[in-house]
Amino acid sequence: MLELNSLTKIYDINSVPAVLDVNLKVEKGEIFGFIGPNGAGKSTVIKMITGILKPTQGEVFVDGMSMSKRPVDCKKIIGYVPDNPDIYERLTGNEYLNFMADVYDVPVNDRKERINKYIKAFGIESAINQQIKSFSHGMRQKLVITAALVHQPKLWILDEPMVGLDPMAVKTLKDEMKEHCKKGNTVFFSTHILEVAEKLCDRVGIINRSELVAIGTVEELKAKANTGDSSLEDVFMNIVKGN
Amino acid sequence: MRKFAVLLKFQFKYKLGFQRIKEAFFLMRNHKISSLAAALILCVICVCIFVPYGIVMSAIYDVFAASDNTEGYFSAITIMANAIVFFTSIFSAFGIMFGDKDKQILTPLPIKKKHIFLVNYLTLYTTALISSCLFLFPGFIVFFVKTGFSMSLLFKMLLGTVFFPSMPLAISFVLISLIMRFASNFRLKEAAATFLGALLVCISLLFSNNNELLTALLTKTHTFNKILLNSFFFSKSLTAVGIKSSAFLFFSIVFALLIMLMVYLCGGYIYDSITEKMHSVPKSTKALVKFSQRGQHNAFCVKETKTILRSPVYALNCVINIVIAPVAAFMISKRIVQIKLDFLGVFEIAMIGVFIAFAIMSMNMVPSTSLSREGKCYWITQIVPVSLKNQAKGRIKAAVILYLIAGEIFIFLFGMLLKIDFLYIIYGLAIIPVGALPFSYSGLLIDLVKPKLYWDKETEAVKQNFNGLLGILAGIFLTVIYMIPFGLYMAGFFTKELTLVVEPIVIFVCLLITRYLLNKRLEKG
Repeated sequence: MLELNSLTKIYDINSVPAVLDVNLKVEKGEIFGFIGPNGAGKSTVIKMITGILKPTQGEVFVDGMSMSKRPVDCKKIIGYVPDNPDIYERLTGNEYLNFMADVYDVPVNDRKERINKYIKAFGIESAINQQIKSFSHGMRQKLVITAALVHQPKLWILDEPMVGLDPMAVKTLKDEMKEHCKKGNTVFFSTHILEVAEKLCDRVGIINRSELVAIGTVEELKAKANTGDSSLEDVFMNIVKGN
Repeated sequence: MRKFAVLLKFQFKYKLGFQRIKEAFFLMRNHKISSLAAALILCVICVCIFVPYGIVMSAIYDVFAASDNTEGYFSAITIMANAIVFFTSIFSAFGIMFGDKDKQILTPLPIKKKHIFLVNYLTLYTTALISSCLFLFPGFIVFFVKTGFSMSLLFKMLLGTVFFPSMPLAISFVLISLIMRFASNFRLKEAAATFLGALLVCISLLFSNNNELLTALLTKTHTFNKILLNSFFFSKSLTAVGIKSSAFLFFSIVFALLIMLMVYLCGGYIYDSITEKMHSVPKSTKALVKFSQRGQHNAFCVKETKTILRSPVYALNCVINIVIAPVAAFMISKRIVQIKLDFLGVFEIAMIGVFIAFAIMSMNMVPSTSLSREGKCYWITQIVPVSLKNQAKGRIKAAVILYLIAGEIFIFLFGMLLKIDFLYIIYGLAIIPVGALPFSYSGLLIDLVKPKLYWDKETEAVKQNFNGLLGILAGIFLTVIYMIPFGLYMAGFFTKELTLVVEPIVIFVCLLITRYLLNKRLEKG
């Protein structure tokens, strides 16, 4: 579903690469967790996957399609939630959702059903006709998640989606992620909350200092790190410090 | 006091754009050619504004000098400066005084609310001072050229100018506060504030361009001075001699300080209650979510239009030409009737009207700040499955709609008021949409080359964005190109019929060229 081949991003020839030679494959039906310290390159990788940044080298393939050669087709099947929910503050929540549904060509009946479902699930239906300017960070995050899911993308790319969400919303999102993958779709998300990654993810990739240093199931990573029955947190600390 | 000084320094640096100017100077060192081009463009603009202005000031001086009335000259220019400061303060007040980021960031800090208000007010005062200097100093230069230089007079002029804006600024602050207070009763508060602000600008434009009023200004300055005491004291201080002159200067400073003190004492409370009300969220009475479907470019078009009209800063800066259009139609048609341009026929007047419409339309920053206004939301345009070309179609649609409103209103009113042949009005109405497209293409092309995506306040995306100015210049340049067939007609090379035929061809060629350049840039990504 998602394939990254030798993905590299260098902003300045004289500076350290932001991302260096990242190779990974995410299969259909998989929840893939992408973890790493601050500044490791997680958001940069995610931005290259979604087409926001152009890789210096390497290629991104979404469902077999190259992001550089067929960007519009790739973007049609991606639902992206950024780490900062910066959206059009002058629009109302309703207008923003309709705008996103329009650009993804979602028919009226389908968008009606999905928008109503998600805004009820996230508890933002009472505020949906207010300007986004008046929304709290958490409400904006919920709105951005709803907007990213309204076209039922096959691939969800979520950059720290749980930041700012209340516990009920976190539970809703986790359930939606599991439900989404059961249908044969894929979730690729980055997080700092390792307990969530440990419980939710089928596989995890650890990025540190621009490079992908470990990839596999939680059990495989524990075996690689020789940490026995310890948590993903211990594995992470071991791998990152060792690297 | 220290915190007050720190905050004041910070606001001056960032709200007035001093930091940006500093960064621009730094960049100039590395990009010499583009900075030279920018400097040349600025010089051209300054010459185009200040040379005719200097000529007008000189003419006004001559009128007063003929009746040996130097005080009248100073009264006239200071009264006009009051109007200028009043206008510019209306535009600046929205962004500087009532921005919501201040409330969020500064209010929790250990700084008195009154000090926060005073810092914002002083920042606004500085913008008013800059605009009054730009108006008054050329008037003073004309005076020195005509009468000879005087050091003491220069000192009085400089000192008086510093305190001059206090009265018109206070008036505009009160008016804006009333508007904001009234607008805060509505759900879409800022859209209401924009509408009321635009109405105020419209009324002010009509009022200030009234011929009878201007004549009265020149002949009855003493009447106006009874109301505008800052003009009275200032003009008296420049024309009286000895102790009298110093006394008037002293009175003008005291008067200014009194007004500022009153604003400080009462304004803080008013400001606080207004910002509280403006940023409060009324309970939504509509629980029902509306669903409608539009095509991709229509979605961008609607999004663009809504974000512009709901922001006072965007609306007042980007679409001010829609406010100006009907006012200009009334004013210009009235002037044409008064001047009795007998040597010009109906056809000539109709064509002049069309070019004035294009000139008014060109004062629109919508396409040339379209991408810049995305700012932090730019990621949305990058992740949606809509090609840059299709997004551009939506942006251009929004820009053209706003161009058309201004242009068609002007042509219609101009034609009706001057009783121009109906066929010429139809011709004008038909040519305006075609002529608007090159403006949109060139504007969007300018913003595509280097959009200003990093900004904190909306003002930075439009007013402090060089792309906006370049977009207006491109529009003016295209208008000049459109005028070529008419110019050839006036020179006797073209007949009327040939001009009517060649005009749309010239516009169409401009359309093709600008569209080609835009498409080439869009393909680049």
